[in-house]
Amino acid sequence: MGSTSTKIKLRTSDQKVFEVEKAVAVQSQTIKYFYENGCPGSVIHVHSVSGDILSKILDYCKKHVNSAAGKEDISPEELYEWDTNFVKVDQNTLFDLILAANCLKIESLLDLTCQTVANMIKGKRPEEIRTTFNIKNDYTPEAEEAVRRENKWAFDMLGV
Amino acid sequence: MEDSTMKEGKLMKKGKAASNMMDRLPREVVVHILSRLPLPSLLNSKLVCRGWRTLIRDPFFISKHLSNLAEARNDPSFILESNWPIPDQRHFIDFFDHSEGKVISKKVPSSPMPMYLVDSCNGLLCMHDTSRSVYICNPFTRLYIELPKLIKYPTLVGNLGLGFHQKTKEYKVIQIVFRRKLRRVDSSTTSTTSSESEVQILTIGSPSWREVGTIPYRFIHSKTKALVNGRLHWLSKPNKYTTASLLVSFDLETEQFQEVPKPDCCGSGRCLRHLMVVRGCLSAGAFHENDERLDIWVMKEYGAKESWIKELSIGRYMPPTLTQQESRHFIYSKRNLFVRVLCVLKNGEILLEYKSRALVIYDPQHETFKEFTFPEMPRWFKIIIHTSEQQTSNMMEKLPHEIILGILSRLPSTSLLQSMLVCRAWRRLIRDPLLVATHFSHMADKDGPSFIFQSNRPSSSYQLFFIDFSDFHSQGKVMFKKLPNLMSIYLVDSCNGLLCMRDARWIYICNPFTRVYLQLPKLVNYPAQVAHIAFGFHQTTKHYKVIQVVYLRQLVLLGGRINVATSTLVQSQVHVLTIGDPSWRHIGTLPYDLTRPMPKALVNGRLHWLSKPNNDTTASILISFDLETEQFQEVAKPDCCGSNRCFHHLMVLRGFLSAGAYHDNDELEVWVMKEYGIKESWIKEFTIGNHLPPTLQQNDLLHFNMAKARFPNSSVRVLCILRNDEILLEYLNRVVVVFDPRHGTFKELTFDAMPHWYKIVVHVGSLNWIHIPVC
Repeated sequence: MGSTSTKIKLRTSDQKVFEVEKAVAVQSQTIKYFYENGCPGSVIHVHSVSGDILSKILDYCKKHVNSAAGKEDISPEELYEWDTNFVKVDQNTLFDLILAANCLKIESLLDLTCQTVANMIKGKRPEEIRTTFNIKNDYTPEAEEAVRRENKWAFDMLGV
Repeated sequence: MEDSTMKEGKLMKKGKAASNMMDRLPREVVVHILSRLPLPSLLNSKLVCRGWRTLIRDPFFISKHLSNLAEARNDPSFILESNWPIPDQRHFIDFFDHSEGKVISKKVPSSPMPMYLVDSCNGLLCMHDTSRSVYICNPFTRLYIELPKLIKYPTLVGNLGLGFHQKTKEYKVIQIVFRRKLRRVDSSTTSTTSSESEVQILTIGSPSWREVGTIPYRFIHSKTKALVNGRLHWLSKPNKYTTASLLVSFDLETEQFQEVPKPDCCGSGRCLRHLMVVRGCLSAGAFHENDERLDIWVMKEYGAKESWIKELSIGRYMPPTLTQQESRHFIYSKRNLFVRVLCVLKNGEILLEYKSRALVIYDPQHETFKEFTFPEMPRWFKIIIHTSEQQTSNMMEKLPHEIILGILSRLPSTSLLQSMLVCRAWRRLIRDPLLVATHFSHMADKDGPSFIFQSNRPSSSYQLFFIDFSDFHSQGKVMFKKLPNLMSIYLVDSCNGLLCMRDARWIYICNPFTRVYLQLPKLVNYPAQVAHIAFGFHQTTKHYKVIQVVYLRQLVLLGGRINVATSTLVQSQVHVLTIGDPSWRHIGTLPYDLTRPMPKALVNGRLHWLSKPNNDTTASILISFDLETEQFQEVAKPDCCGSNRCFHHLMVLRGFLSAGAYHDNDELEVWVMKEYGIKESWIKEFTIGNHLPPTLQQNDLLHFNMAKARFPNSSVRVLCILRNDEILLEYLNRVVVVFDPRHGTFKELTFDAMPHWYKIVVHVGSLNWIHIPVC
């Protein structure tokens, strides 16, 4: 575990520099790849992630690394609770987190954030989904009616 | 006309060269280039090639484009709306190339219904229709979002403002409703000189308006709104009886109102007439003294009163349009008050609007006026500055395709089907085989299992129900839903979200969610035989197969009547159909009795049944059928279950082949084979005590007791283990019970409209179909 003290420097899109423990940073497969294939000690540019988002993501990685390494005494339930609170952010931040998790290749965070958005869709009427995500209804009334008829029973379910 | 074809030709040529350029240059560089285009060229460039079209639709590109337009402080563009004489006419006027002497004016496609323009922000328009519904729309992509109604005042539209905050990245619509207090003349209440307006806020994306209180200002003209520093600004006055104007700001982040200092010249008089943004600074048009000249004041440092500077002063002018067409009106209002500054152009010229009738470009250097007209310019209009972003703030469009797919694939099937209605893109996505496969794998290893019920009693309804335990662990909720009516067919088996069903003549594969059916070929040799049918899928071969075991009954004439021979020899003929093949294959006979089989268990690419070699023995054997090699084989049972028929039913628990067994007492033992094919790996995981569910006690004690007398406790079947280690049990096709092995407690599950009798199979609710390669 000697390598955990190694630090990796990350520079964000808004030119903020983070110095992160290697074990935490390599939770991101992208960073891991750059670290292993670049010159050690150099700064890794995380172009598509802003400082605000990266600091959140590092919190997440830290929490999960620490709990996995047993550094932090946290039960799976508590970690689940922590995750749940972690994604209680506004929609913009959530989407930024998804994009960042995708680009940094942090599988568990991508899963967590995608599930959060899925939960926002679950059980909602199409109208509500459109409002929630500002999606324009681009169906013609006829087409909409046809799709609605096609899956009428599924919509009836929501009425219950 | 000539000109436009010329242009098109040029564009085509440019497009060809550019597509090469695009091949040579990195994508980001192309983005850099394209993002500097004004909107009309950009929209045209979409036609250049599909690659560009994709690029231009890219959300990163859109935000880049918007910021480039804003940062470069290009000359602005406007939306001009006219409802008279023809309603619902909108034009887009772009001063982007003004420095080159060109102004683009384009007619905007009309909205689906008559709408009134209210405000514009980041390329989005805030509009309302005649029924008082408020919309946010992008006139170019023609995406509309209807905002939730303000329930408190459903028929009222107050003063609306649309704003965006850079930091929170949220769009907010603010609605100020002026509350008129109805006073009874004879009442003793004195009329108050103060006015109150109620403020309602809607954050775009949230489901309802929030009331944030009242403000002691009377008029907040949306016409004078200016967005600077994350705040909306209006000119207002404290009450009806004063001529003084107030400059009020609303912070889009904190949602606080605040007064902004005005220049001293404008202390008590209402000299500030309208607000605008000049080079990023809050600015105002003001009239002093004889109202002859319009002064432009700019607050150079936000919030600092001393920084207000009078930048310039514009003299009187009478646009020719006004003098010609409306001289009567014009003479009536001699004063210069109807002039409004729209913006300061890059070259220092100023765009003025006269009485919603004329647009004028004023050159401060030479103090000259030039009326600006464009073809089809309406006579009366409303004009709003409009940064030409070409997309709504559709959150989902911010995400790459594969992530949206990842999100949607986590939805339960019913939600997924409904989401088809959200928009066409989602519908396409939801029909995508990739989504179906991803969705299936998410559904297959989600927290809780799901089942299909079929009820045939009391009435032969063939009604299917779907029961889903996926929210059971986290929320204690079980979804129990009626599925759409199918044909009158019996539920036989389930595999990979597909059901195998049958009627008297045919066998079908169907997905109860998508209601897609496949009628299987007939087994010609045995048209009327009752057979055992099982349905399975093999991971490696990716083939679905249906196995039909026909038990041959020998008919004998006995005293003039046809009877079934009571032969001790059991022989079953096995037929296999690979889904997609035109006919069944006879693969031989089987020396086992499968006429009264319990549900099969699919583990390791093999189907498993409990059977017996002949009618005379009580011993049970565990047989398997390999879906790849199509070979039958016996599977080792634990020693305890050597010769007698203690294994009662099979199931799959956490991926292992498992069995419910009875031994000496009435307790149901659950055995699990931890390592497939290894006899020694069979482990008794737990035992389930005797339990009589309340429903059975009430309704069907007689039946139950009879059954119980014949097979002690054998009416119980283990369905599955839930994520929280609780076990789902089924009693006599009548009751589903949750058993907690830690506390040994039973809890009966009942649902509204739950049928009395049913058949239940474990089923993954999905939109899967046979051609989709699930894994």
